Amino acid sequence: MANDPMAAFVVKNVLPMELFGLDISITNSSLYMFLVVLLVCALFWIGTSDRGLVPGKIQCVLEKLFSFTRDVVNTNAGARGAVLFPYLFALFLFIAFGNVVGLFPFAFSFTSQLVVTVGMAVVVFVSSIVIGLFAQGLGFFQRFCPSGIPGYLIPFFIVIELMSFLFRPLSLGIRLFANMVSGHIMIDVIAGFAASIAGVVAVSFLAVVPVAVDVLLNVFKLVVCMLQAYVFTVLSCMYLSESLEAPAH
Amino acid sequence: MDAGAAKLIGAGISVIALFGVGIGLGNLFSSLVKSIARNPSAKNDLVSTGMLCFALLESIALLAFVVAMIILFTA
Repeated sequence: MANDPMAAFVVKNVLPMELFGLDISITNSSLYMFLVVLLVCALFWIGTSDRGLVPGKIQCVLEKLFSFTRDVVNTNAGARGAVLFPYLFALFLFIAFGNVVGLFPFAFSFTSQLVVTVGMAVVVFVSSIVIGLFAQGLGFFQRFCPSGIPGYLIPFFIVIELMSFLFRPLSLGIRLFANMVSGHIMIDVIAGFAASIAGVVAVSFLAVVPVAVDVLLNVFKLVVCMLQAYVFTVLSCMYLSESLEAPAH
Repeated sequence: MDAGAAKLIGAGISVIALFGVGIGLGNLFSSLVKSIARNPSAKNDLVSTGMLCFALLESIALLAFVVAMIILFTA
């Protein structure tokens, strides 16, 4: 294949480092993570440095992001979920900015690495278990055995509930990963169409069509980026707030 | 059959999952439009729930896509 669509996802070693035999090199993936964190911090620093009752341009955007996430947490976790807000807001900003930064030409999208997305999902999963054990004690395990089902069905229910519970981090991580990767590959493949049409002299003007489709796809991708960040935040919020609640059954 | 041809056929078969996702998306959006038509004042709530369901449903299609990519691009 002349134009390999997977080439955009290769992790390159930028700054090789080693600490006590552990490989802690700066790759382009972690470099972009640092960049995104710096970007978010800088935006908040600038936006809130001259804050006023009448918000400026950047403050407007930040307030919108803040109130949007607060509404998400309020509707999904209620008043009890206020303790989750700082973590979920950081998660939302990190994913959303990472997705959007990855859309720029030649930029690397770290959310298209399975290890990054599943890593974030596993953090949510483990903390939901730990929070659940602290908040509910052994009542946490009641969720695997819903009340009001006939006795002979209980073993099946426990197995099914356990499986769906254990599959959560994987599905949460793979959803974000697959959305990002598929969008990038789609844009790459259609750009490849433009290149191969432009090579045929007689109809080279038709190469405008795939380029136009690419522009539309980029807009669609921008929507998907924000939507996936939203979905990741909502699902994390639901998982974490489930653990905060008193046992329902 | 050589391995290259089998890979291509396997990748093609793996995206049959899109059949079910198509049915699901049609179902989701038809009910979304119906419910908005019945109760237009609830539109904001319905659309946000619908978008969440859309993303959950789309992830199944993307899982099929990932499987196809794994078949195509890994040795």
